[in-house]
Amino acid sequence: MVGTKRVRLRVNGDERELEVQPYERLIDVLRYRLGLTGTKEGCSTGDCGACSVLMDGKLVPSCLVLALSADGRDIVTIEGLSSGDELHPIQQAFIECGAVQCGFCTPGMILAAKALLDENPNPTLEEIKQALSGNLCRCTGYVKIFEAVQAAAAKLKLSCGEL
Amino acid sequence: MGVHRFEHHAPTTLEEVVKLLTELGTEAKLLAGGTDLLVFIRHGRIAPKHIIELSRVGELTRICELESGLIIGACVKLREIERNSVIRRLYPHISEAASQVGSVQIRNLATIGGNLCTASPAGDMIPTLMVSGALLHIVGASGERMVRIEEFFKGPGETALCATDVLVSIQLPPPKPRTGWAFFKLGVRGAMDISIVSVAAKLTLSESTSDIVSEVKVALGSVAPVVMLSHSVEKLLTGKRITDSLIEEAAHSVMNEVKPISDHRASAQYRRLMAAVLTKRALKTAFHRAVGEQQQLTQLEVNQGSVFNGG
Repeated sequence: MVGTKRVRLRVNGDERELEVQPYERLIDVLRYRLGLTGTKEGCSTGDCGACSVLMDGKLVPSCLVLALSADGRDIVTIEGLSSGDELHPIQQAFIECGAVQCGFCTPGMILAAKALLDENPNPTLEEIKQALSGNLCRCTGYVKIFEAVQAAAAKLKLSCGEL
Repeated sequence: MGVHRFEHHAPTTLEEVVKLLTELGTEAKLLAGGTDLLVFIRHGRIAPKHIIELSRVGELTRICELESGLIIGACVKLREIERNSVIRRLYPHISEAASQVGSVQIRNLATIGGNLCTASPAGDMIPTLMVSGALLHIVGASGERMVRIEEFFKGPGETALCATDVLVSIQLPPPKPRTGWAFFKLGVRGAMDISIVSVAAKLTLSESTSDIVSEVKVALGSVAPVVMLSHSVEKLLTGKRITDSLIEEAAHSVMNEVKPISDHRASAQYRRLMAAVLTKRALKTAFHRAVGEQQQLTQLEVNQGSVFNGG
């Protein structure tokens, strides 16, 4: 018999405690229990990057993480980036650069960009391409997405300079 | 397709893992990173009733540098292998191979031990560990043992592990002076690629200033049911002075040793030819690194097609 187990997660800064099935994935918990549908399910096998979230600051495909494996971890989804009505500079840059078409890959792309810029605030174009190579987009052809990441890097540098 | 249901166990010690494996037998599968296991379950290739998660067993996730060499815990993430300063300094080919697996997302989950235990003929970490003389530390119900990596693989997806065995760590002997390493992988895209052919090389030059090869190993992936070491390269190069024509001859010799298949990724003949090309490049790069020269081919050049231009 399979029974539920208790899991504790910190999701976008909030402590959450849930009863989950052992076979439930992190993406199931985010989307269907917490209603955080910004995280998208594309391939379900870790190939497309649409379900990417940050777990303890590291980019992971939430379709390949069991909810129980995430016990005690800190999760950031696309919903956790903005502060109130103010978009995160990476989100703003995606809008300004026209890097969003159908939008399905966008949450994963933005979180992949965040993981990159958190580690490397001055990436080269080649480094941006490498960092986003696990995220597929079927609309834009990537050029505008790379431009948005470059613009976001410049924005973030500027806002750091102001502090 | 319905969701496959299983029970989840999260032991914190190796003893508990072995105990669970003993109790649950073939109904249990070990979960390291999950990037293969959860996909196999999703595709219905396996249907375990129990999942034993290893990530909470501390000794599986450590990297230790000892005088006797480096010990890498089986559950160390490939992203850490890629970036660890000790591995990058002592075994750059292992970092380079790790950096070419999947994507950042995948490398943040996937583990070095998982790559070995999946035992794919295309497992990217396997050739690099094979040329490094890796020993695998295995613990099971009947005790512990060390297995040489070339004796670990029994066929595609098959290893020397028994039902109650856990791969604990990979032990690497310290590199000898004047040793150079290389790893090249041929894929289509760069990201999320399963190798068409992969080659790792180790070349150790004799202590004097000459170009005499004292030790050489070349391992090839995706060209046989398991990753294989080339005996012909060893025979042709050991004790010889390195020249371009000798490297050419050694690279050519692997074409008769490999046993590739044709599949949707490439034909057997293409794999055979590319095995020789990548062997040549790997030997040249390993040689240049052994003599301390900076000149070396990068993976980028391989993926951008210079592999087709001779050189």
